[in-house]
Amino acid sequence: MPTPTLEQWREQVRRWLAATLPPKGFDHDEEPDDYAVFHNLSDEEERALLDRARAYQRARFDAGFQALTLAEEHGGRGLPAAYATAFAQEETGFAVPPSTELISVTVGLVGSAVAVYGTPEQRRRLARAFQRTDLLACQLFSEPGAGSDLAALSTKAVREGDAWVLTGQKVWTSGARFADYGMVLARTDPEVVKQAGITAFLVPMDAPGLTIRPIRQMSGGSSFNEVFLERVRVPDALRLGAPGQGWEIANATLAFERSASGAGRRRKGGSVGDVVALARRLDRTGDPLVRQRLADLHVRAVLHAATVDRVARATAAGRRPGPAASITKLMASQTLTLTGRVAAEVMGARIAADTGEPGTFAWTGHLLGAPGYRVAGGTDEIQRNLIGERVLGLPREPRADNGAFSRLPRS
Amino acid sequence: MTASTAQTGTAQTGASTLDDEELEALRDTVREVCADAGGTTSVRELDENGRGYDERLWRVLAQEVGLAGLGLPGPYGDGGLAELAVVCEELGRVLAPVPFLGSTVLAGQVLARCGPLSTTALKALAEGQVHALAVADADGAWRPENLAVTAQPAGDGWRLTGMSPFVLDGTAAAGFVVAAAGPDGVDVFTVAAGAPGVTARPTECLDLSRSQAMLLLDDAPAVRVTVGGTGATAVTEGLDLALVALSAEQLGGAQACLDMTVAYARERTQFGRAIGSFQAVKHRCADMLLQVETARSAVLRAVAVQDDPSALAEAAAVAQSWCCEAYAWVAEETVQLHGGIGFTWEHDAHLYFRRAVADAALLGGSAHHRERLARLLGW
Repeated sequence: MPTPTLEQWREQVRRWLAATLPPKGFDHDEEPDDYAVFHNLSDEEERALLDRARAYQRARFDAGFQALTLAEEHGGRGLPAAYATAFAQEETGFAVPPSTELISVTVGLVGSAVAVYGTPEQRRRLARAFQRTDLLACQLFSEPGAGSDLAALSTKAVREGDAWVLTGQKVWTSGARFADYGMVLARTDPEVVKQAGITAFLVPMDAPGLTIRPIRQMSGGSSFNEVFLERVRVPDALRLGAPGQGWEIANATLAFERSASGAGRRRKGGSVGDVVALARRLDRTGDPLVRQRLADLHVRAVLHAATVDRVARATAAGRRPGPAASITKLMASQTLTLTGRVAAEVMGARIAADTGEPGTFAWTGHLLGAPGYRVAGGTDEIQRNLIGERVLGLPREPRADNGAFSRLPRS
Repeated sequence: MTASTAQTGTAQTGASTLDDEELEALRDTVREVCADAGGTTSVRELDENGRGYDERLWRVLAQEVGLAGLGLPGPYGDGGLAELAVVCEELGRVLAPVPFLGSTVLAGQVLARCGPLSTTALKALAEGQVHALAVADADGAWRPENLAVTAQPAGDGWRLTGMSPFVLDGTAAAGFVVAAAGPDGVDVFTVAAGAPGVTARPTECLDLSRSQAMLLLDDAPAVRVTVGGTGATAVTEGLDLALVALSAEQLGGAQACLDMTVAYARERTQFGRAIGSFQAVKHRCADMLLQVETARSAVLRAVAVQDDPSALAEAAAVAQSWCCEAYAWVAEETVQLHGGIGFTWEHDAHLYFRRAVADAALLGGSAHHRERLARLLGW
């Protein structure tokens, strides 16, 4: 099919969205006083959320709007990133059902990874099912001993006949309890440098020996899980890519996450508008110090939005987004942190004890969730390394982990 | 143009007509002219007893490149805020000691919002004759209710008495654009530098690349260029443009600081490795980039709403709230990350540090604009 121009594309997308979704403003589902950064839902609520998001993803897949940037040979549309950005921009005009982490991991990450690296059999059976969210997949990457240094993972996979036996512990997995498969990175060769000895597998989440335990975050809820693998047998047919190719696949997968878009937006915590409304309600807007804090927050929030917009415009116009693209995560985490801090200052003692006034103590959800956002998806410190090395061209730290994995010091 | 334009708030800035490619060509031209003038060395060559600016560089920029009337409406000039921002960013990058911000932007944008009597001054200004804006109160902020100059009618003209400190490029100016409290309220007046009762006393300045004067007026003859107390609107709207131009200058200076710091961190070796490989240094550079790119977003966001005065007021206040502190912090870190060499007179770091601190004090500063923002947002 010939590639439409960007304008034709927008028109197609708009027409489809208008036929599929109500316009923005007709979506009254948002909880009024929910300022939580990480949602804490009951299984029932989570399932209801997933069902709505899946219905939308299926419609999107069936209309040919899924896997936009994936090459055609891998079952995608083979469109430039600008088209995915345009899709996401058009989506903002409609009441897109709220997405969840599990949906974006399934579609954007695992679905794409299987489409690119899978065997013909895996692609036929699984890639399509993930992209259409008929099956859901979570990501089993991080470990207690491998956070920022993901390549130091120590979950091991040992070949036994036509299967692999996996033993180890994964952590910070979103949606594990609702997933059908987990994409797991495991060490298959400890005698080479750490990046070279990793292999990727797709593990059925109901496999014997696999147990899931929710993690309770400092904010009180359980949005993430630990996943324990105790001699879990995985058939070789579910190995993704070649043995030792896991690190390449992991990096490509994380890059899909950055380029894929339109898996829906998720509200994260309270907004500047919420803090201003709070200050008005508590009659604090006459205090010169409060006014300074609110204005500072407004400045940061609008400039964060302007920077995101600048990157999106550049991408949509087919230009390179430049250094601005690398700072948006750091800006987001700083704004989120400051928002909670200012809300707490504005409400004084009300942040420490619940008086029952609506929209006050609920801010503890934001305040206690923000530190998690600074860590998740690449810590602030890792972001600064990336900016320093990839954008500014500063030299890397000398490394102490160049030898075989088995001989490296570990915590 | 009539006096009522100021009352109705009609923007009197020229329109931005250049596309992105042409703006980049303008940027290249200004950059080349400044490089030919020796970059920051022209700051160091300023004659302390001279007029406080590089007259040769100004002649080239004002007349040959034709920038003296940039951003003014026809027939005085052409271009709008997008062009002003590009030029200010480039001049800020090398601390070019020319009265572009003081005359073309500050005095020019205010005059462009005044009545037909301002045409004589506008014409001279657009030809490169330096004009300086004197509207600040004793704290250096624009507060129309707090002016230290008063106006009295005298014959068929006016007389001004009072003082205005912190007049940028005041030692170089042939004419002053002054806000004064008169019988009808605040109006704008023009005053010739050589007129009786006019003293522009040079002041010692923190920023070595720019001069300032304290303007003393003692029954000085003046031409009233707004009528009926409409001067405050003309100044406020003209300043909104200037706030964005100043933000662009701060962006250019901060970018130059970042560039020199990163270059130094790559080549300076201690403990057997480039200091930029240490996270303590690398992370600071990353934070500097965040400050600079956010400043760029602020400038572009304001340029995008140049034709909407109320949106521009908000965007200008946002830009100054961010850019004043961003530039000052980046310049301070530039000195720090250069270590000992950064503390020497010979190194350029202190020239940027001085400019950054002076710029943050020039049109009110971050805290002032945050308070303005709070009022604009109805808090």
